[in-house]
Amino acid sequence: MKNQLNAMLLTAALSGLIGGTTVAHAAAASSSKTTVKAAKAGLQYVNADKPAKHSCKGKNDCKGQGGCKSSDNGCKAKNSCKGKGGCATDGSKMPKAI
Amino acid sequence: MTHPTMSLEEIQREMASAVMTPLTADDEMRKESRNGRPMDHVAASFIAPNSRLTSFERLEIYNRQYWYRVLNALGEDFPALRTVIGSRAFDAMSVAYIDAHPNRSFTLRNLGSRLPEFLVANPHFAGRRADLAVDVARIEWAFVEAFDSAEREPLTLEQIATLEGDSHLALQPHLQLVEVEYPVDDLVLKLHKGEERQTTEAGIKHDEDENAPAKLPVLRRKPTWLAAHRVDYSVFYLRLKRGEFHTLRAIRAGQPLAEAIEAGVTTARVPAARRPQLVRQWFTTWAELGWICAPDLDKLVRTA
Repeated sequence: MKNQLNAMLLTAALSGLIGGTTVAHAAAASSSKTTVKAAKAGLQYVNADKPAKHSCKGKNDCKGQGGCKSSDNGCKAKNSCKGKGGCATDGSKMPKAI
Repeated sequence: MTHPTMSLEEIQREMASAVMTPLTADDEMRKESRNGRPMDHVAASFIAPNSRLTSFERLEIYNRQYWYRVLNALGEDFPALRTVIGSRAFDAMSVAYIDAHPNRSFTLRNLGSRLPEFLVANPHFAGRRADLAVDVARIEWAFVEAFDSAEREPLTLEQIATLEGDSHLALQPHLQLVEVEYPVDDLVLKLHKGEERQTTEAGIKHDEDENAPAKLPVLRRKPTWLAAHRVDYSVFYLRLKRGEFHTLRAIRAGQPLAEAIEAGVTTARVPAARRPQLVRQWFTTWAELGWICAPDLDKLVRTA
């Protein structure tokens, strides 16, 4: 009895996979791709029009654009080394090791 | 003065240790290193002074920039958690967390990966909202994972035709399964969306003290199962039924298909006669969303 039930569940799962995959393929081939998928996807948190700031985390292509953590405003107005030669960002040469 | 016998590696370790030492409450470098050495001696051991700054002051610049950057990075990924526990507690927790789990990755994207477990082990940072805070942190971390984790090719019809009860499947890497004690998903979404408008519109009110935890709608404990995932570069989340959550989790854990189904339906609390229909619905939806993949053969080879 249990085996029979399990076989029915497996059949149900496989037919579901076939049905869902067929729908996904059909949607992909039509212009309604995004609409169909998004309708079942749930609530939207971050959309493609407004990427999260961390989309450039670990990449340098956003450097200077203020959009990611490697160049963002975390140190805004706190850059106490500016112009003092304390760090390499002002173009100063490294002091000679003694 | 540079220590005559320090190797490059020793200098790097000394500097990393100093730079990663938490700042004082006034955002200054501590006067003593972790091992009790005066920090001005530590600084002088590998940084020369210049005409305007002492060795201590030069090292302090890097110490500050490190902490400003990592604290900012962490706060960016957990805005709802900050609101729930309050800025003051969030800042204290962040310093303790980053001190305990400094970033070991090439990218700050991974900085918050252990924050939920840290909160479980250190509930005092969240006070009376400790359980709620853990749930919020779990959801916010799931959003980070869903945002940029890999996407694989879903199962094809040809692959489905070969499946049997003992077949192993895999889930999309960007699909995140989250089990929480409170239904905080809507709250987190409101708090995130509320960043661009007055938070009172979202039903959340701040005290006069901006550092205090926000006043939140009453939330009753209710086990909730969530999926965070990505569709066309957008992150979505949806609530799952208990049974589908457990089936998906069993698939991810590597259980054979038949066992994974059983793991879910036995928790679904529906009559046996309705289970096939339920299972069919689950797998239809998952396939439409592209959640089910073939096993990651590379992974199997690596772990073999």
